[in-house]
Amino acid sequence: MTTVMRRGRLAQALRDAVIAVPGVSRLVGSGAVEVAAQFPGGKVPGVDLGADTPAVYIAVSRLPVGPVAEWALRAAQEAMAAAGDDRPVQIVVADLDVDSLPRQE
Amino acid sequence: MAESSTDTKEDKGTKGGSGSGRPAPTPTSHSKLTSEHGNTSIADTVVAKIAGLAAREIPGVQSMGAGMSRRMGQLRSLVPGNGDGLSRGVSVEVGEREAAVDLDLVTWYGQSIVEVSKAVRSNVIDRIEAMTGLKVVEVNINVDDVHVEGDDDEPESRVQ
Repeated sequence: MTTVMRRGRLAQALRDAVIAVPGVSRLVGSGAVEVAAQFPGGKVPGVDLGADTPAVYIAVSRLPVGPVAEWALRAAQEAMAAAGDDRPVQIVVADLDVDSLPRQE
Repeated sequence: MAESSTDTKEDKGTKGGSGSGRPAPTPTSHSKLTSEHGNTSIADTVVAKIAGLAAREIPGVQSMGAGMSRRMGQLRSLVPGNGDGLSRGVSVEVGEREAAVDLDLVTWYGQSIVEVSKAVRSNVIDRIEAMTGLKVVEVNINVDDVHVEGDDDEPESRVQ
């Protein structure tokens, strides 16, 4: 597999794995500096493959944040292993979606 | 690089004493472009165009070329039949087996230059190697400018 295909597919695999975790509402790509993995013809916002350690930026809609981040990390690690990439991966909780939190009575 | 490989061939031809007058083919060559039935040579322009297109495929690349050449390119593109500007901002060095590429590019404000240059580098290497069979030994990227959106928009007309 070529490096470009690997980049694009790895980014998409990470996105799909992490977004499927309950409590992760979306990936966060916006900010002062855009976080996105770029490949020919597109980009995956919220996935950073530019650094030595790949990172996925998430918004959480379930409290407490800790377990959600833990599940997201596990999902990301599985996606990396499935892609044959043995680098460690990082989860960054970049936002909290308060609107989608359950109401406190 | 090209000269040294030719020398080797001639040496082998004379030392081997084949008598045919043509240098014997080098069995050690790993290039896909060199075969015992003939050689394929690829012009610099070809590699430069592929590199230019490959770089533009990455969404973080706003345009190609250093300041002056970009402006000249905008003027040149107005003249019909004056090239397509695909290799603007690209300079290449192509040998028999290997190629080296230098790129001048402009990115958007707010983009990670690290991410853009990594994506550009790997795409340029992949495309050139896949299309030409040349091994790309280096891709040097010079980020020449950062484009701020709305910077060069047309000023609003004063009349409706």
